[in-house]
Amino acid sequence: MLRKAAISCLALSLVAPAAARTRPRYGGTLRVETTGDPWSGFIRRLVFEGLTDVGADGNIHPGLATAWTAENGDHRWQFHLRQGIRFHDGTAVTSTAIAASLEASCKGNCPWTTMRALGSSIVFTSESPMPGLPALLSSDEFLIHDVNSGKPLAPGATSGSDGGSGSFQVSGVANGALTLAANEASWRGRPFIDVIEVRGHRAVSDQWMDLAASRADIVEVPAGEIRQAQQQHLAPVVSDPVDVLALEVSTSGALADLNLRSAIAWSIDRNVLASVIFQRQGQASAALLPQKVSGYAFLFQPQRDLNKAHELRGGLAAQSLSLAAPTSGAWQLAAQRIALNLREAGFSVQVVPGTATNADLALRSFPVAGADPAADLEQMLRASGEALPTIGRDSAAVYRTERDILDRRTLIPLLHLPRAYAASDRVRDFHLRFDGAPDIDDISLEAAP
Amino acid sequence: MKHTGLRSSCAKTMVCSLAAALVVLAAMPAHAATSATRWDRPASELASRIAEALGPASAHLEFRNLSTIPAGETNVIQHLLEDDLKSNGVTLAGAESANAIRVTLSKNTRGGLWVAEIVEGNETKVVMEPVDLIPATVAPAPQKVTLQRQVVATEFDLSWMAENGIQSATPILAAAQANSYLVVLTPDRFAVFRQLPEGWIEEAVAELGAAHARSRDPRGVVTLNAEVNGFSAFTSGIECTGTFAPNPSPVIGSKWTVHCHASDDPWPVMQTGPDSWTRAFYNAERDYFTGVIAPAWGADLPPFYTAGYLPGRASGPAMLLTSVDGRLLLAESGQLKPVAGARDWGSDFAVVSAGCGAEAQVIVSSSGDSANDSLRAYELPAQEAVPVSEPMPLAGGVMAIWPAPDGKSVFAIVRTPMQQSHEFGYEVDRVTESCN
Repeated sequence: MLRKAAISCLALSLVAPAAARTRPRYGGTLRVETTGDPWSGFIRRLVFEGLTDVGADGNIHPGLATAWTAENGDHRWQFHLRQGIRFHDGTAVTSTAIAASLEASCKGNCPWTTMRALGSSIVFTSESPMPGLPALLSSDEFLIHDVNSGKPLAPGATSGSDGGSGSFQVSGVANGALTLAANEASWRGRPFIDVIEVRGHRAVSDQWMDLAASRADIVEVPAGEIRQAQQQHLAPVVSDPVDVLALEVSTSGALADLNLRSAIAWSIDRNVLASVIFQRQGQASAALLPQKVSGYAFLFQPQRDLNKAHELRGGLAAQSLSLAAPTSGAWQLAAQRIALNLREAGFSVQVVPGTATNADLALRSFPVAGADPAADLEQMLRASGEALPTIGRDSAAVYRTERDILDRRTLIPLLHLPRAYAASDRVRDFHLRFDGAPDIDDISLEAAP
Repeated sequence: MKHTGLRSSCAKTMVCSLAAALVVLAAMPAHAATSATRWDRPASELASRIAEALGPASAHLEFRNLSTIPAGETNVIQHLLEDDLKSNGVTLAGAESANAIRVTLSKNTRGGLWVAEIVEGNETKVVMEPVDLIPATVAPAPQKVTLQRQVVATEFDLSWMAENGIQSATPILAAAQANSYLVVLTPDRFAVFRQLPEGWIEEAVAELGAAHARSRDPRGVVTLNAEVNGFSAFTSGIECTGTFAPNPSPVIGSKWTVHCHASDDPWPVMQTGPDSWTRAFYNAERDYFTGVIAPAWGADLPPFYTAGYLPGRASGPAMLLTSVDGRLLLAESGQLKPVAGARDWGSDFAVVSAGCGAEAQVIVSSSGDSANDSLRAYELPAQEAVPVSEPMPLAGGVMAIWPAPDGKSVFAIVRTPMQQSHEFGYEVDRVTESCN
């Protein structure tokens, strides 16, 4: 309680009069804190770039590729590469280097049949159409790294050979903090900020305290704590719903029966999850794609129907089910609430840590990366290991695919959650990308008073 | 019961009521016709899809709106849909019907999406129709203005949508207009456009080349250049010229020649006479002027973003500049003096001499946290900025302001939010000061 009061008092002191709209200033060190590993999430996207990128509007924009063309009914794609780009160690970003990176990213489980460098372009071919390939290549999975730079994804190598070509390069790791330095030669233009320090594994309450005490500039605000952050005057910036909280349901063992899986879907009270656990910051939904992206999410009714659940279960007494969920904050509370709902429907459920393998049920989050419903659905299915159908591009076709997938009851959407971050008052032009991650690339720091 | 004067006078004569009714009757068909035309196609398409799914049957129609379509227009859409369903063989029935058609006017990130659920017993079919949503125009708020804005061109008027189907906004760094020509500088191109009845037509273009340094906050300047009978333009590490060669023969026509080359020459930052400019060296890596200018001004200048020439001051001409540290300074009589009353100023301004009041006014981009900027005119009778106009709202954020060649107006590059998108477009505005 004392800690909350301290944060509130310190946060109130952050309130400053509106400043004039002036040109952004170069220089300064941005201090970012996160509960996870410092080398994760949006930080990696500062160091590595994809062939394509998701713009603020959610649409696909050029990245290391400047243009792309599809032929033969989306079976063949050619991506033309930006010229004159270099990795952070000065090595040229060639089509051969990109092809090697893409090959290493998917290690034989690639969504294409063949991929090769052709002059200053990359050509993909596939036996089935790949209409969502430009969007897929913007995902974290296919960020380009120099495969010859040692351990490209480990920041331990501090010799400037992090293997990326992005706006920032890894400059060191010390005392658990990752340090990134501006890439002077970035094709996007030299970033305004000189240095980013990322401190990982910080509890949210510690992050908020650091922000209030001017020891941090950007901190996390979990969806379930947005209201609390607002009450403490941290002025969080909140995205549209971009995380889909869903229950992955095993089709083996106790839950091989479709009726049992359906009974689970009807048992869960999504509205309580949204209003109580996530403090009305989430939207209860039985759709995978959020309403803003698909326009048809309202067709999937999220109401609980315990009678229907009992009817579908039909007196079948499944053996005790395990529900895996991360142990942190709202996730654990949500898992406990779901277990309670399932017990009310006659299931026996045990909540286990998220690291547990072979759980019958797993609480997971799927990010919504862009504004293309078909591409988002494809990436969610890829992340969940579901069979990938060819998804038509028009809304009705995407709806039919989503309906077919949800009818299998192997994925049960629960909530659509926003992402939120709070920034210190010296951070200027702070906004979130379409996927809810902070757009650090273009922010600058106000001069010290 | 006590009536207001207006109501009682109307009640006495009945003329008001009759007139009002006539006005409403006259206006309604026009409005309805416009809306109907706009929604005709999607309503017809959706009705066809519904009829195809339902077949010639009767059904109860339910209707709701989850989109941004104004409530007044949903009635028009519902009537259109009812007519189209009937013409497709669907009979509309009451709530007791076994069949139901639930129509939802929805939207997603790409535009409108009209969804129809066709319920026949336990079976539900879904059909959809994508719709272009044109946001309702908002009438401009009444304002008392001394600054007048004219949109010269947007990037879309200049046909700068990227090639290969990639739709990406192109920043406009600077622009200048003289007679029927518009010269535009972007991070990639220097181009001359000519105004014809059908719009702006590109007459000549020079690519800046991939080798020139990109910048996070790219800037540029375009000035009228009498020496080359055309324009000069500067951006990070590049100088461009556009030369006009008039030809007396109407058959051959006049010709523009444009070219760009690498250059670290100082940029023209303020005009001190008809053909005389003060030039300043530009730091292309940090997007500001270093403070080194030619000719010298008699005082050591700090790094600055913008400079302007203030003639006719009591102690002689002065130079006004916004320094990188946020201060507004006057370089006057060999001294640097801070200016008060400029707390609300942005980094960009332009000095004009429109003959209103003092010899010169400073048009300044505004500040604040609102998404849109405004411009406001100030005078500097001493060391204090005094507003002499109301703020004039703009359609977005001001990215740059430069004096127009006539010295009486300014060009503003405005970054405008795109409809139904988080992206931005760019437009060139000409803002002219009118004297009260």
